[in-house]
Amino acid sequence: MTVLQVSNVSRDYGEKNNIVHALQDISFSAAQGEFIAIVGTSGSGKSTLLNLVGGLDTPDKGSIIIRERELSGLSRKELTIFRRRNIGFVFQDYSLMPVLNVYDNTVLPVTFDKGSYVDHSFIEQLLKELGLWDKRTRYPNELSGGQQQRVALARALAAKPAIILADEPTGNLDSRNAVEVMGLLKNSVKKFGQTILMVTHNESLAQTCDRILHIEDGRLLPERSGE
Amino acid sequence: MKGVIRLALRYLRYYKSQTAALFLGIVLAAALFSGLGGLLGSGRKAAAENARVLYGDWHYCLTGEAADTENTAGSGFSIEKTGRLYLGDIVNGREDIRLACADEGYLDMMFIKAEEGHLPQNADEIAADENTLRTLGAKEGLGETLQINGESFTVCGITDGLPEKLAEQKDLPSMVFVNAEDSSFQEFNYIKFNETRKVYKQMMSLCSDRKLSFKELKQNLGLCELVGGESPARIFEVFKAGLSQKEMGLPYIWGTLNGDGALAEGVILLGTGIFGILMIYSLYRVTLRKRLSQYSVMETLGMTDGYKAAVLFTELFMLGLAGYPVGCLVGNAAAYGIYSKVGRIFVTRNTARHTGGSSFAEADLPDAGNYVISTDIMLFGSAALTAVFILIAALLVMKMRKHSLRQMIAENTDKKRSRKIYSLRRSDLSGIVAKRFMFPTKAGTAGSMLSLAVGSVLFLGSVFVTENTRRNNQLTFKADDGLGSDMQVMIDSENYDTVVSQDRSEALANISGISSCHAVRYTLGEIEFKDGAFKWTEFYPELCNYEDWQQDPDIMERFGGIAVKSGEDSYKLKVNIYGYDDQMLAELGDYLFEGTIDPDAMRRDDTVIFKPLMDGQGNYDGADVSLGDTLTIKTIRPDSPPEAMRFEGDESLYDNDDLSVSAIVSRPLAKVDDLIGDDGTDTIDVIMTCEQMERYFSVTGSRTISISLENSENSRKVYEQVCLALKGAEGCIVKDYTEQIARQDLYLSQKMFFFYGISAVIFGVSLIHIMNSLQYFITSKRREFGILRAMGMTDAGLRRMLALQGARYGLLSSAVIAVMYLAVQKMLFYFMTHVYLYIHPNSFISYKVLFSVLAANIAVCILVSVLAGRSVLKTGIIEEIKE
Repeated sequence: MTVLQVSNVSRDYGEKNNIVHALQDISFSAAQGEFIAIVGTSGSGKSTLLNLVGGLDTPDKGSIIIRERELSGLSRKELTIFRRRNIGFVFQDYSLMPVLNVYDNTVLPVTFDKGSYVDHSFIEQLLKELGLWDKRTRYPNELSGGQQQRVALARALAAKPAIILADEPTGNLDSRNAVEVMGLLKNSVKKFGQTILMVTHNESLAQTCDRILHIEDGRLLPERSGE
Repeated sequence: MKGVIRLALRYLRYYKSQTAALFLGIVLAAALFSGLGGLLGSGRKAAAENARVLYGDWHYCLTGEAADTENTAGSGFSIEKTGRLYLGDIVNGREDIRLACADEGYLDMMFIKAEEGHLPQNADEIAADENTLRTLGAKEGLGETLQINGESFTVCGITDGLPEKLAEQKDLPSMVFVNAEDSSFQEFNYIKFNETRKVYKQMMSLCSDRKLSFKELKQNLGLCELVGGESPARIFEVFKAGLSQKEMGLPYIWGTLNGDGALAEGVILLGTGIFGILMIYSLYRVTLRKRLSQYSVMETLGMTDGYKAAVLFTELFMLGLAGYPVGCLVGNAAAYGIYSKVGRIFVTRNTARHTGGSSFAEADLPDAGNYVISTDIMLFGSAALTAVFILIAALLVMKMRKHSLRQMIAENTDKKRSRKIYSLRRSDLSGIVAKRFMFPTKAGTAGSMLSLAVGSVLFLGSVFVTENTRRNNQLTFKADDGLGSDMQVMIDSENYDTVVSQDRSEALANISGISSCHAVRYTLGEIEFKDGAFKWTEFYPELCNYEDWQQDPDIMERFGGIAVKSGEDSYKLKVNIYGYDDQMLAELGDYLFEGTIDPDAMRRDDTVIFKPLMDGQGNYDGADVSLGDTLTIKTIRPDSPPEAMRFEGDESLYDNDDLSVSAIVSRPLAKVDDLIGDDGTDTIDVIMTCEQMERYFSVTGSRTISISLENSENSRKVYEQVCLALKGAEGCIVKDYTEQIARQDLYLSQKMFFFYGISAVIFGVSLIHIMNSLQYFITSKRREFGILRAMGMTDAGLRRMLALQGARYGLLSSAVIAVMYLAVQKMLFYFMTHVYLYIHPNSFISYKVLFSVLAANIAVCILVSVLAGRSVLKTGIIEEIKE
């Protein structure tokens, strides 16, 4: 089942003589349960693509359809709600709330939905799987980098989204932690059937994914498979 | 050094919003401080100039040849002016007039010049002021020949009198100037120092230099207290006396040391200074919390505490360097505008009044002079600000030292963290997030609340004082002569039997243009307080044995003193007995302590109103008299001789009446103060209806009549008709106060306008500070709000979250304001009652004002939070996260 459909998406920044074509005519799709790596050099447009898919930015041309909903047709409020329920984010610098502990950071996006029930048994299971249960009352600045990234992952998974967007999730980690986080990501694909789009410029990590999308100067190169 | 400056500049440039917030805070603080300082300083300078005119342009007077005042400079002193006066014999047997000879310096100091003619040039010429010449029998003035001590002199000049306040001093005689210096003349040397330094210190230096005794000097207190004439030793003595004697206490200390208003001004400036410092500190603390990890990283790279402190100080100093002059400019510009319009209200003076007594015939308003920038205050402010910056930098570095580097790098400096999992009990965590952002630590929250509350507390305090000042002015004016009347008819006679007849009083009321006419009846009485009922046994000088405090000889001669000891614990006090009409009695209700004022009941039940003594601390318990007590009032029978006023004669000269007390008030209205005197507080008064005065004492005529006009523009015409109606009435004087009332009203309204204005400015500044702080708190968390939006918080959700936190902020700061203000109000009420002796001040500020301020505070907090939220929402999510 196709979860994500990106068609002829372009995005420019700046104006008049200073226009930067960040993305040009990008088209691809992703099926449910796929783990896709997006690779490219610095400034190639990888993060821009991720932001557009996540609804954090709006394309100048083209369309993005997630779960048969076209993002451009949604109002700002609808987009926010859609994002909260269907998309999970994992940032390179974790972006955790410093004032909340591990548990509360994890359930934070779920609590935005008024009337939405927090499945505490699922959260407990999630945290145990990620090895964070014992640390659930700790604050982000009391954790190591790898632990913080796992919290970020738990937060992304808490709402059981259709898609997880990970922007350089292992960028700040050592190789051992990076491998661990990759393992957790793959595990969640298997267990929860989520589709993952991961931006990375680590070729070896990209090779472990189902698909690799190469972006160069804002354009998508022909695909190569992961394994 | 270069590195410190470079780093500090980089921080200022990088954290732009913090820089802007701090800059604004410094500008506001500097504007308030320097502006107020300028206003008060200009007022003080004008007060000194006014005092110079009222008391003469001199500081000290030495008798005899003791002072060689020719050498004008020495170690520690600089004499600007000297004057010499020689006082000779008394003139024509009058102790209050003496022959005098003076040099130009003296005449210049006393502003004495010949208004007509010239000063004596020949031995047979004299010159004096008009009153003195009239007293000596002169009728024609210039050229007239007068007999002075058996010799003939020609009046060659009519001079000005001594400066007004100096002339009022009883120990100074009037002078007849002659051109003959006699060795028998007593020499007085007057000195004026250069006022750029404290005159007291200069006098001490002069005494030390010339071997003079300071105790033998006479000081021009009226001027000296405004130009540094206070001895530090005296200040210590005042504190010692005030703290060691219970009946003195704080009112005595404050009243004595604040005679020229300097202490009060200092407190006001201190208050605004503290407000400014708290503003700056609370803003700076917030930003520093964000940079803790950066400083700790720098420390791991080798930055010392001293370097850190230097960077922090340099940041603040550079902001201060830019902001302080701007603030001073703004503050002084605003102060200049204010002073040009209402400058006289800053000039330290007592509010003049008009009473039935001849000594206060006019209400003069002070001359404000020009606005003067108070460089002293600005320099002091800049030095104080620099010192505060050093202190802030040192305090913050000390705080950082309390944590390990690891803690600071991890930004884990909170001592105790809650391990509660909120999502187990709550479905919405956004409130917790926002609360943690805006109230990170208890100490930080307390500091922020304090800085936000001070401004509002200052505002509420100044409104409280202003309202009570307005009330006090109204009640004082009303009590001064009875309903603050436009005109007054009074009897100028030592015979208490001399009155304006009832017929004439009634005729006045029929004059066109008069809206009301209140005739006040009067008689003198005596009450004996037995068995310790009179408690203030040292209130009157005739009951004490102090050499330097004597009762007025005239009162001793005519009345045998106001108080007389009649037994072991018994005293007889002379009292003023007044009869008011019903309308006047009703107005007395504003001054009521206890009981009720009901004229019909008074007439029916033979009750009276008792007005007790008041001491210098606003206490009224000098005599043990309560509601329902019976007073035995002794009065003089009609047609008794004047000696009967001493109440020592045969009992056949007197009547005794027993009347009980139905009300106790703090002030009378119309008064008669030319017998035993009555300034409203220094005699016991008994007040009753006019009918009772007639019934008990057969008094039908009036001693004073208060007249109110329909229209003050017709005052001249009405005045002439009143004079005509009273033609032939013995001892009658008519005074028209309409012009002075208009000036006084204008003055008071300007004063009130200013106080309300300054209160509004303080409130405005405090609101700006609240907006500034809150705006900064919120926008400093842009990144975190961006993450929340990325996680799925809607715009409405963010606005709601911020509005709720704004409301919480407002409620908490309002609670702090209320608690702080209640404590401040208590203190202000004490000062108004016991130090400034306000009449019946309200003990609590109007609830409307208090709740309006609290509501405005909450509303502003919510509004600012929502507006700050809007600016957050305008920015893209990506930009915010990347910040």
